[in-house]
Amino acid sequence: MTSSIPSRRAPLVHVERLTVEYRQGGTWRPVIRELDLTIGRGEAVGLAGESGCGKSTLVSLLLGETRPGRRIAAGALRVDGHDLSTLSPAQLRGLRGRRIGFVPQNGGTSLTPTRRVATLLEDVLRAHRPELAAPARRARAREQLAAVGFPDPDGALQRFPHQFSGGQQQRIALALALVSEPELLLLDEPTTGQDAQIRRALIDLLVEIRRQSEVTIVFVSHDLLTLSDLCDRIDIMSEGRIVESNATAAVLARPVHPYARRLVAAVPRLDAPPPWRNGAERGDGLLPGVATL
Amino acid sequence: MAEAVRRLDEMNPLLWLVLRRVLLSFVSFLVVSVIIFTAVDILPGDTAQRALGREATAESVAILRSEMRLSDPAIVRYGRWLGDFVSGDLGTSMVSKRPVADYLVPPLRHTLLLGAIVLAVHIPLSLFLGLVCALTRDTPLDLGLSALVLVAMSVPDFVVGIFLIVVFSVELGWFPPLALIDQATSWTDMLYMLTLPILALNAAMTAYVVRQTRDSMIEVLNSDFVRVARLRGLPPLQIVLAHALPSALGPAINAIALNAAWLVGGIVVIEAVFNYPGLGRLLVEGVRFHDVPIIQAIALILSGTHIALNLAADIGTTLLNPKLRTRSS
Repeated sequence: MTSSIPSRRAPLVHVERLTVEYRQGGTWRPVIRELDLTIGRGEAVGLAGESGCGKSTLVSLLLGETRPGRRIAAGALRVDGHDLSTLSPAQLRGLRGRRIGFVPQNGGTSLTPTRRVATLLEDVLRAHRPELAAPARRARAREQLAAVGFPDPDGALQRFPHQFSGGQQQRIALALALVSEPELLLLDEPTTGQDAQIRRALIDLLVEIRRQSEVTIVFVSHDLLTLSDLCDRIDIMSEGRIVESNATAAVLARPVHPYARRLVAAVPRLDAPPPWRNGAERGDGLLPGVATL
Repeated sequence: MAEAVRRLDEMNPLLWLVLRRVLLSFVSFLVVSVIIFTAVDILPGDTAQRALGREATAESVAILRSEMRLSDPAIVRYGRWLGDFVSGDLGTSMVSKRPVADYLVPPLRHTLLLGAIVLAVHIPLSLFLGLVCALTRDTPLDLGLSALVLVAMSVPDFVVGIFLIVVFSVELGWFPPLALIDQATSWTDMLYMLTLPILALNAAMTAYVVRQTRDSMIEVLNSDFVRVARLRGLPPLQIVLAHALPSALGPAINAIALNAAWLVGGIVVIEAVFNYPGLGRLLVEGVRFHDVPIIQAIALILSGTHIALNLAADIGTTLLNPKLRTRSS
């Protein structure tokens, strides 16, 4: 059994002995194995690990998503006490968007290309905040866009997704996840493929959002540096298990599991000399020497 | 000029795009008109001789050649023909000596009427069936509907027409076998007479649009933005109609435009089967009697309609796609 450190705050997310399998050929292959995870309200937890270790599958399951060729073989996932596998489609719709916000990896492709930003935001509000009248919806949409760093929200509301840069599209996806003020925010590698400046801006924005609200954050990334600026705790996954779970500073300073040690050692440091200068010269196998080219 | 175009493109990309499409359509129309004129002009034999028949004397042929100004260079005759056509003078029938417009207007009205009713049924029906097939993908309903529309598409339209006449007119006696709408006394009477031609034409046309709508809808339903819309908890109907459908409509609109263009030109067979007094039947008669002005006028009208429908499809697709009508960041 693999597990995260118990949260000291009241749990919002509780995953218990979860085993998830994918069908490959004629057989079911486990991707997540007997995983336990508890996330307290208001916590920010980073999920790190190599590709295929089950991070995104876990996020997808926390959204109650079902997919052909995937099954929960054992265990349960609970959000605020609700066992996600027992909820009806209508109950799941009430949870998604309203209580669980989701930011996917690619903000650009996640935005409906034929709808203006205003319409996208108002769609979410109409579905989850029916008590808001049209002017209140528009005001809330404007307010949320301003909160994610659009200096001219009125102008941005009138534009289509393709009229924004990649970083702006990711911030619109974040605004869509936050507009109905969810308790849980799931971010599935939102900084992957973004340049360092955009990554930095998104993390700063999330830190600010955390400061202003009680939102619980689950941030999936394979980049420990990105997680270290935002998360209270980092859980490192490998081969479907949480192999290391500790406070961010502890994981970065004293990783215990061999895979966690390798992951921490791979974090680039500006003050460290390049590896080919660290007792080695070009041509020793790290980088090809000129003579070998 | 280049500066004016750049400014227009910056100010209103949609207007500039539409203007460019209209100009291209106009050029296409000119090219088609040259082809029609040349095709008729290079037919073997003398036009005046063809019009008067083999028994005509050389003198009468010479008089007709002079009346038709056939000795003028081809480019002059082309300019005169196109100019007259654009100004509403479609020429004079070589058989009856009456203006072509007199012959053309009633059949054109009939063809447009039948085409409009067929499209009014065809567009919502084929989009709806395509949508149902996509939403019930790989279920018995999808497979059954897909097989049915493919069978309907594979059978020639005249066979479908005759089959409908045999079943619904001869055997069951529900509908008349001939669409003699000149005898219709009311709108309902006319629609009753047109039921079988409408069914026959829709059977031939629907399959392609259903397939296009189904395939593009399935592709869109599998896209990231539809998945994320579901994960935002939006209602399923809204996801299908407001998020997925507009992105899937582009290929369907092009298929509908092609069908509409086929309808204007290819309706001739169904007109013949149901003895419907439309443009197709007039074209067949024009060819049989070598009535060149009628052939030219109908060919140009059909080509112009084809170009106009493609232009409408282009503009429709553009309006549906914000990437084409707005400027990127």
